[in-house]
Amino acid sequence: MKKLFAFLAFTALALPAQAQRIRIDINAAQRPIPVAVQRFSATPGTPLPDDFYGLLVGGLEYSSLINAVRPDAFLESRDTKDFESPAIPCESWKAIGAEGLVQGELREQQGKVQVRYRVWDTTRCRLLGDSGYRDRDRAELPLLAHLVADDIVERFTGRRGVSSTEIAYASDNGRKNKEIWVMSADGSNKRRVTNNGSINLFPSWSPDGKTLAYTSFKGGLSELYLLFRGTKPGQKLINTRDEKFRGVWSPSDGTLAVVVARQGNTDIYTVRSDGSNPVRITDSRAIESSPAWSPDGRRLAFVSDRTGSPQVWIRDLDSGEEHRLTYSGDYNASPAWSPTGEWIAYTAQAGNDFDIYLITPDGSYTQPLVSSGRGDEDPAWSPDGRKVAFSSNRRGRKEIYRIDVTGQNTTLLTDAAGNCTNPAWSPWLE
Amino acid sequence: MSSSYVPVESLLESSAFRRLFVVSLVGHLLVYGFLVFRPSSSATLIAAAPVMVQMVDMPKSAPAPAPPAAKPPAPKPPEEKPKPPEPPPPPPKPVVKEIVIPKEPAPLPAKPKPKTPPPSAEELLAKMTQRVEHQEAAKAPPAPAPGEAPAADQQGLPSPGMFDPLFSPWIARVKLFVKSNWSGASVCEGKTMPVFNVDVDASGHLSSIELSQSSGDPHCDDTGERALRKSDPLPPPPRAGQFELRLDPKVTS
Repeated sequence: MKKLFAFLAFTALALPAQAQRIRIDINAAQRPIPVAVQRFSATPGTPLPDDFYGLLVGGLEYSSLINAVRPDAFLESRDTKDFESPAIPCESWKAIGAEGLVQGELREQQGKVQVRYRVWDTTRCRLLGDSGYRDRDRAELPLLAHLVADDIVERFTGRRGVSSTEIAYASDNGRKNKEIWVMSADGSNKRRVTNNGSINLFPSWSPDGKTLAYTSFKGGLSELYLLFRGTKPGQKLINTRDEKFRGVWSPSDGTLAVVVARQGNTDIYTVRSDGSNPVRITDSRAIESSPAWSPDGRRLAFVSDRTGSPQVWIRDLDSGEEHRLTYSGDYNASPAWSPTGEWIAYTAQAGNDFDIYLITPDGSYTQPLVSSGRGDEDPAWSPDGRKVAFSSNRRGRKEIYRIDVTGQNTTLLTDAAGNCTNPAWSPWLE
Repeated sequence: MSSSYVPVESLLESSAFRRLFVVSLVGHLLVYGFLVFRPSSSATLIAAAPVMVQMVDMPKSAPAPAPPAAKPPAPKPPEEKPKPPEPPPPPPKPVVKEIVIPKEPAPLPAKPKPKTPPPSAEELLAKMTQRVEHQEAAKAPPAPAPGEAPAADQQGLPSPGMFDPLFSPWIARVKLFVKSNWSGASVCEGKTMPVFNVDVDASGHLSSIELSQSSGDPHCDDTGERALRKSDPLPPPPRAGQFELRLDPKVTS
């Protein structure tokens, strides 16, 4: 009895204290993480290129998740000193609002460079990471700046940044032909990778980022070709008389989904990257095109007009089951499955123009992503699933833009004289 | 038991009876005069007029006591009120906050001299004030010693979601303050909100930060913890205590 009374007394005393803890709900604001970046030190006689710091900071801010604190606000040195020190004056960095600190050094030996960096959480005064790259050519320093930036983004957000990735696209450059071009994700370093004077379209990256598949009319018919990084283009993928309009690489293996026109009927096939083992996926009298793989490579989104108008459908490659995904409007096309699997971006006709929408793979939720009403088409996801590249006619000609999946930070990436279309975002590169 | 009959005429002729009659008449006149000319406050209380008193200020942290008007239940007025010998004095001028004290049960007309006369208005006011002070003393936390910070007990803190005039202004400031320090919240998009239990001392310092419910993403949890550490110290709370901070990744302007 005494024990029971003691228990009841304890419960009566303890529960009210627990129940009366005041709850405070705090909403978020769209604000990047402030991080201070000290200039990397370098071995005497091997100075860093002037733009290394700018590329590093630009790579961090490209994520839209990190904001570099201005160096003139620093209470400490702007340069990395005593890189090996086991501690940093966290209070000095907290005082200027920095939640993180990046330090680094560059060493050059026998023509090869080594970059090391450290990332600190200044609010908890904790080292988040100590890493780097070695045995790199000096010419790779701009890429190294972006690789380091992407690593730092991962330390703070859990998902690697994408400033070191690339975007391929087709451009007519004001002429009648269209060539395939590649640029860095921030729009810099543009270079033409095909030069056959014909029409070249629909670039698609292999999962390792070392090969580009594209469609070309250089032989008269529409054919698929592969372009290997660092070698001359020209390898034909499938050697048949059927026209092939678009090849899309599976993210999970070396398989491509290919749109093939045979006897006036367009269907989707899968084929290995060496052209072997073609398998017919769709089989109807309707036009089926624009295949887009799910991240696990087990489902395909595609466009079919089997119901009378182009709509997005999904096919489960294991079961063969298909279901219609889009129902709103008379034209929905160009699906692109996000790398995280959460969304499918697609082009939807809005009045007399086109916008880009996001829809969940089960079709339960749809929301607009780009709706300028000026020909927004061809969405392509960044490998982290946080950005989308697309083409838009908002300045009177087709150009490539990128936008955060939050709908913010729309940025123009191309400045060609002509039209740029069909963006394809590369996977992460090493 | 036997009885004898005495005629009235013989009683009137009796001198003893006349003396007794005169004494009785004088006594009745005295009683009547006392009833007519006694102090007016007693006459007012006997009458049915309500008594107006000023509201007693209640402590903000203590729960509001039940309105005194609710108890005791108002008794039914007697069917026949004794007609007051003179109209009651005009009630005091109304004040901003007033309550009506229910009248005490009026003495029955059959009992012109109750053993315990009804209390006066001053007595009622003093009694009620004493009752309120007693309730307040029973619920209020013990006062801290001079120079000592208030104890961090949770007695008297409002329940979650309840508006509390003592804490609500501080909570509003904390919301804005922590929100302004929460960077990288978009890392948490699509995640459940991380929840932290924090101990806040009287000066606003966070003496402990404990992740009580993870978002499932350690980087998201880190953004929340950084926001709290960056917000240390918070504005001084009305009272030291433990608080549950839920960081909702949903972005608001």
